[in-house]
Amino acid sequence: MMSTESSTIGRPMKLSARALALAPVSEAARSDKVTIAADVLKAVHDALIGGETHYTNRPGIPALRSRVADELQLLGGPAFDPNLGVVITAGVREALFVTMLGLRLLPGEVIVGGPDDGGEFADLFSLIGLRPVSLGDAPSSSADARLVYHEREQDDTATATLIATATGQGLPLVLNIRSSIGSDRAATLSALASHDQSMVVGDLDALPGIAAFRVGFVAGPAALVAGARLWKQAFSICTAAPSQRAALIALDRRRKEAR
Amino acid sequence: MTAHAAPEGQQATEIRYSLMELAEQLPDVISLGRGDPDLDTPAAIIDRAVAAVAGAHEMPNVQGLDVLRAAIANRYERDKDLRFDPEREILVTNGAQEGLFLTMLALVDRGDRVLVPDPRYSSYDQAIEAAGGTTVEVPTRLERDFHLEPEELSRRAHEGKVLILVNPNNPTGSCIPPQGVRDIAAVAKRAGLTVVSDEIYESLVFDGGSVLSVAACEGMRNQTVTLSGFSKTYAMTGFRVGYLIGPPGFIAAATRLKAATSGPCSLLSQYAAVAALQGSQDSIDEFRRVFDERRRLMMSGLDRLGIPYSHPGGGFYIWANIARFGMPAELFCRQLLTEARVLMFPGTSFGKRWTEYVRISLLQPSARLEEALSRLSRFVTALGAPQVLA
Repeated sequence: MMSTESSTIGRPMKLSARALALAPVSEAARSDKVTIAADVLKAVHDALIGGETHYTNRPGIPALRSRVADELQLLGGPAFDPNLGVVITAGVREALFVTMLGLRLLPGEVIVGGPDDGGEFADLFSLIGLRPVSLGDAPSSSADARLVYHEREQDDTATATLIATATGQGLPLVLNIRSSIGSDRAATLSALASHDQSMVVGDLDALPGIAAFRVGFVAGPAALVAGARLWKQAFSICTAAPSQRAALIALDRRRKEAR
Repeated sequence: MTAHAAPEGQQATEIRYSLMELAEQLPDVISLGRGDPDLDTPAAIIDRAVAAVAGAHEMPNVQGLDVLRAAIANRYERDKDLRFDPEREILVTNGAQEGLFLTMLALVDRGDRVLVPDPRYSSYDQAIEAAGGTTVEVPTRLERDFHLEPEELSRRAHEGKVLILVNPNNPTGSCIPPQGVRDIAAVAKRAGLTVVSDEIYESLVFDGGSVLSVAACEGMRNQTVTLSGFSKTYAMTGFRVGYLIGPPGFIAAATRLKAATSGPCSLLSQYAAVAALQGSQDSIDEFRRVFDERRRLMMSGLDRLGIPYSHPGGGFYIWANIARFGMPAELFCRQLLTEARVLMFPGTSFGKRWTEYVRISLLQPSARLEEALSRLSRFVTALGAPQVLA
């Protein structure tokens, strides 16, 4: 491939150490087919034709933030403030990324409770330079630990212990519930009530036809979510408007069906 | 990553957002602030995008839909005679903003220095700081319409690893002509700088001008990352689709970073971008005509008020000097908003030394721009500054 003016292509670009350290992307996981419901698609079309083609609020459209807060409460979670305590993101990875940045974690710091190898999100932790350690290997003091992290797919019996650890060490807890909203295997968030520094990240992929819209969220106390709000704006300004509209329609439909 | 960082860039960005939030609470504000086109996304783009996602689809991959990357490559070949491999040289991102962030993460290590023309879009600072880098300002000046001057760049080139060039410029509207781009590229090539060429406003160029892509300059293909998107050209800010074009090694690295930090872009948004590229391009000419008309209206109004500005050769901003009102830009903008209901952004949100400048966006219908000028006229008259009439 050549350009018309380029007789030479210049010297090679020097990449950052962090970029070189990441493993190649595997696309093997994308085998599922998604079908967007016709009524959702029509409503999204109407919204777009109606002018919803602009940036939304940085943390997401207020009605969707409110619905997400409601859903988390239905799962037994705390009553998060939809105005200051919820941020809509482009999927769960972005949710976790801006949460970590917003909590101002530094390279070398320990997150307690994650799988030793970091699990599915190892590349993200590695990118920030964090050291995930299992609960058994966690430091006894909070000197190095900055965060307790828990993924819903892990053994749920560990949840109480992790919350006790977070409470005991005065650390924030980030619970990654992934696709629990709309899932048959919904997480129970009632244990979070005992720790006032609890945050929840996840996505809305389990809502029928919504996975391809790539919608995630961060929720938590306003003071802890404030950093994630800023980093979300810095990273991608806001989540796609039609994606947010589709997610809102799907959540509204789910609410109607539940009645 | 340095999550503790981002103080300066974040502060500058927050200046803009705090004014926008204040504006939301006030009645009848004319917003000449945010760079969000008020024009409608062409309906054909919406119709085709929605039709394209009906039925069953594979989940999109991280690098972006094949059909979108092919359409981007076709567009560069058709319009610029630049050929890129869609498989290895293009990455689709959540808007150009994510593209910028990923680029800095891919190129900048702790302690690296990134050259940026000053004034500049503060998100550059945020991305640089997050990657652990340091912003090195390359001064530009009113007398040269804020063009990046190769001589100035040359003086500082040895200090940096990366140069960010935005052409046409945000916030100044300066548009560097092709020979100027070649001269800058020559300096970058000699110094071994990687150039991140932000070309998001390239279709909005006035006065018969054009934008030469840095990647098209002699010997720069492997030293250039082209950053662009669909938001400004097609009035599609809400869809959040941008892209990066660069050498295969860079694109592979940026793709790895995207996989770690966000994953694939929305399917519907990507199909909207495909529809934008494959459909009629008439809207671009129409948007350019509208923005040009507004640009002339605002320039004429500023002339009547005796407010100097740099010549806006592209984009949809005017960078105006308010020094004669004897008021710092932030205070000027806040009072203009609360007293006259006109939102502009202070120069300090594009670099801390720009206390005597404001950025005026042209994203209101002409009648509203005229009303904004009337309000501005009454406001500055009330300040007691001598009004200059044409």
